[in-house]
Amino acid sequence: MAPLGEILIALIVALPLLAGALLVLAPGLGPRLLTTLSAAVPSIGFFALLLIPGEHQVSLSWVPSLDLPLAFSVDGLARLFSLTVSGIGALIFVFAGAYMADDPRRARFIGTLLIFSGAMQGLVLAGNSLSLFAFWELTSILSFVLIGFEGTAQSARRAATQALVVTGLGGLGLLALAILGHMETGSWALDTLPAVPGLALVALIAIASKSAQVPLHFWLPLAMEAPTPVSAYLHSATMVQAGVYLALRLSPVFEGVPVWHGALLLLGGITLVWGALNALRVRDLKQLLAQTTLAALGLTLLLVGIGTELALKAALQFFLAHALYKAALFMVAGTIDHATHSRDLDHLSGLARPLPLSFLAALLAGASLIGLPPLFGFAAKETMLTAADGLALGVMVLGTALMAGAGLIFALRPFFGPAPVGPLNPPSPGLTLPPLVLGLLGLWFGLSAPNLESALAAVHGPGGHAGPHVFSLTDPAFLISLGVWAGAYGVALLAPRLRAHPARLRADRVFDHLYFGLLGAAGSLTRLTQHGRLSRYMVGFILLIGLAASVPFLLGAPWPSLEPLALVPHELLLMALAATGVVSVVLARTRLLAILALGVQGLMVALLYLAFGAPDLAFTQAMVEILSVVILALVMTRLRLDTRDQRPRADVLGHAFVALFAATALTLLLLSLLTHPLSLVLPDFFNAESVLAAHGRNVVNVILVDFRALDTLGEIAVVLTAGIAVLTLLSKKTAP
Amino acid sequence: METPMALLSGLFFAASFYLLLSRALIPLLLGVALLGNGVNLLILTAGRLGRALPPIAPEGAMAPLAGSANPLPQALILTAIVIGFSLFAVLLVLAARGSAALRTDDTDQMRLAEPRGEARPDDAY
Repeated sequence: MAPLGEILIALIVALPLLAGALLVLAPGLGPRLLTTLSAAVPSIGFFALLLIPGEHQVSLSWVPSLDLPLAFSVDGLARLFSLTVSGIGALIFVFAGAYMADDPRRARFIGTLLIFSGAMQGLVLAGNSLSLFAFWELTSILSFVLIGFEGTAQSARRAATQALVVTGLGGLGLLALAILGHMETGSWALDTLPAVPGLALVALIAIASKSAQVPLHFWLPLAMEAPTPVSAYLHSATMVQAGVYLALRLSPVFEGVPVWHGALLLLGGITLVWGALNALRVRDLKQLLAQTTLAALGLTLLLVGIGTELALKAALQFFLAHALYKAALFMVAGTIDHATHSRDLDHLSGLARPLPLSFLAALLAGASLIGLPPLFGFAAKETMLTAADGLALGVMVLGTALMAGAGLIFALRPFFGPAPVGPLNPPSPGLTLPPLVLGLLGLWFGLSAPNLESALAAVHGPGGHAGPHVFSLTDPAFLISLGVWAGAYGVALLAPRLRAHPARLRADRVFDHLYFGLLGAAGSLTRLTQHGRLSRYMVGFILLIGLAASVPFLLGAPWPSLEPLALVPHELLLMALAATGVVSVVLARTRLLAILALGVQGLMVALLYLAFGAPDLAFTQAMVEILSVVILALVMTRLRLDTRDQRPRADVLGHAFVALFAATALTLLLLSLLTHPLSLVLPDFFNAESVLAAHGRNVVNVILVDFRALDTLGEIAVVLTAGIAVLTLLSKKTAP
Repeated sequence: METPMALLSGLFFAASFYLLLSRALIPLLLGVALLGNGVNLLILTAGRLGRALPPIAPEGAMAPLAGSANPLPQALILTAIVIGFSLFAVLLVLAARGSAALRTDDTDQMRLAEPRGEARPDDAY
C-alpha cells in the first residue's frame, strides 16, 4: 500500500503544482484545451483520494537533520476538505476557462490557480505542523499573486498587499505554534500538542488572520479585486477555510482550554454579526458575498468554539453547505458581471429571462444559504440551532437572519423587475453550468444527508453518536428557523435604506495609516543614519574603532606599564624626525607644505625599516612615498583647489578629541599587547625552512614568493585591478 | 625599544584620524597615506623589533643568524605597502575626477549617490 499511497498523494498534491507551473511557463494553449486540462487535474485528485481507504499516512524525507519529514495524512477531516477543494476546484476551472476565454493572460491565470489548488491540497493533507506551515504560506503567497492579477490597478495592489501582510502575520502565528509545540513535546505532530493557553493563542492568531475574523477581517472584502473565479475558489470555499480547518484540526487538542473556547465564541460572534450587517449595506454583488463569507466564517468558528459534538457536526455540515452555495453564488455574480458589465444591485434588474440557468443556480444556492428545506443548508442550520443555547443562540439567530436577508436580496433582486436595457453579452455554458451543478449538489446533499461521521470522528473522537437527526415540525430548532426566515424577509425589505448608509469605520484605512506610518518611520530612521555626509560617517567609524580598541580595558585588562626607554640615539632621531613630519602634515599652513611633510615622514619610516633590519621594506617604502608625493602634488596643482585646508573652527576641537581618543585606545592596546610573550612558531619555521625547503636565503622574499605565493598572486591581482581602475578613470571617454 | 615605536604609531593614528575627519579631499588623502604607515609600524612593532640584522641566511649557513629581525611582519608589511599604494592611487584619481566633475572638493557637497532632500515616495501601493 505504501508506494500506491505515495503515488496517489503525488497525484493529489504534486500534479496540480507541476501542471500549474507548466501552464504559467508555457502559455499558448487554446481556451478549450486549457479548460479541459485544468479541470482534469483536480478531478484526478478527487478520484485519487477516493482510492485511499480509511486513514493513511505518507512520509517523505525532507530535512533529516531536523528529524522533519514532509508528511501527509488522510483522515476523515482531511478527506472532507480535500474532496471539497478538488471537487469544487474542477467546476471552478470549467468556469474560469469560460470566464477568461478572451483574455490573452488566461494560461498564466489558470496555471496560478492550479498551483494554488495543489498548495491547498497540501495544506489540508499535511501530516505535521511544519508541512502545514509550508503549504499555509504558499497559499498566502498565491492568494497575493491572484488578488494582484490586475497589477496595473493600484486598488488591486493595495488589496494584495493587505491580504499578504495580514495572512502572513497569521503564518507567523502558525510557525510559532509549530516551534513552541516542538520545544514542548519534541515532535512536529499536531495532535500531540499540549493543551496550554499560550499555544491556543498563537493558533488563534493564525486562524483569525486566515479566516478573516474581526479585527483582521478587512483584507477579505478587499480581495474581491481579484477576478471572480479567484473569489469563488480562494475567498469563499477554500483558502479562507484554512483557518476553519486549523480550528477543527486543533479542536481535540485545545478542548476544555477556556481561552480557546472564549476567543472563538467572541471572534466568531462578532464577525458573524458584523459581516452579515455589512452585507446589507453594500451595493456591489461581490461585496455582498464577501461580507456574507465573513459572517459564515464567523459562524463556523462560533460553532467550533461551542465545541460540543453536535456543534462540531454542525460546523462540518455548514462548512460543506457554505462551500457549495457560496462558490455557486460567486460564479453567478461573475456571470452577471460578464453579461452586463455591472455588479451594482441598484442597477441590475430583470435578468431572470436572459439568464435563466444562472437564475436557477442563484435560487438553489440562495435557498441553501437561507436554510430552506430540502437543501443542505437547512440541515446544517437545524443542527446548529439545536447545538447552541443562551447568548450564542441569540447571536446565531441574529446573524443567520441578517445573512439570510442578504441571500434573499442576491437571489431575487437582480432577476426581477424591468427588463435590462441594452444588449447583453450572452453567457457560454461554461459560465452557467458549474454554478448550477453546485446548486443541484446542495439539493442532493439535502435529500441524501452525506455521511460526515468519519470527519466528526477526527475532530471529536469516536463515540456514541446520536444517530441521524430526525426532523419534526415541532422541533424548537424548526420554530426558531421560522423566526429566522421571517427576520430575513423583514431585513431584505429594509436593506435599500441600509444601503444608503455605507460603513464609516474602515479597518482597511487603519491598516493604510499603520503601513505608511511604518514606511515613513523607516524612511526617517534611514535619513538619520544615512545622511550622505562623509565627515559624519567618519566620526562614527573612528569612534567605533576607538571603542573596539577600548573593550579589553573596559573588561578589566590591566593598564600597560611603560618600560624604561633604552636610548639608541640614531633610532630615536629617526623617530623624532618622523614625528615632526607627521605633525607638520597636520599643522602645515598650505596644502603643498603638507604634501612635502608627508614625504618627510614617509622617508623617515623607510629609514626606520632599515634601522630595524628590513631593507626590502625600506626600499619599497621609499619608492612608494616618492611616487605618492609627486603624483599628489601634481594632481593638487592641476585641480586648482584651495591651497589651504579650511576646517570650520567649531569642528577642530571635536575632531581632535575623536582622533586622540581612538589613537590613544589603539596605542594602549599595542602597548599591552607588547607585555605578552610573542609566539615564535611561525618565524622559526620560516627561518628554518627557507634555505632547506625553498632554496632561498632572503627569508622575507621566500615567504612572499614561495610559502605564501597564493597571497602574493592575490596581491598582484589587486594591483592590476587598481591599475585598470586608474586607467579607466583617467581616460577621456569616461569624462562626465 | 618597542615603547617609543608604539607611541610613534599612535601619533600616526592620531594625525591620520584627524585628517580623515576633514571635509576636504586633499587632507583626506593625506590621512589615508598616514593611516597606512601607522598600521605598518604597528605590525612591525607587534612582531618585536630586531636590530639592523635582516632575516637573510648568510652564504653557507642554513638559516639566518640568531638575533635577526622577525621575517613574518616584514612579509605582511611588504604586501600592505603595495596594496596601500594601489588603494591610494585609485582614491587619488577618483578624488581628482570627482572634484573636477562636481567642481568642489568638499565631500559634504559631493552627494551624487545620496542626494540631499530627496523627495519621499508617495504614500501609494
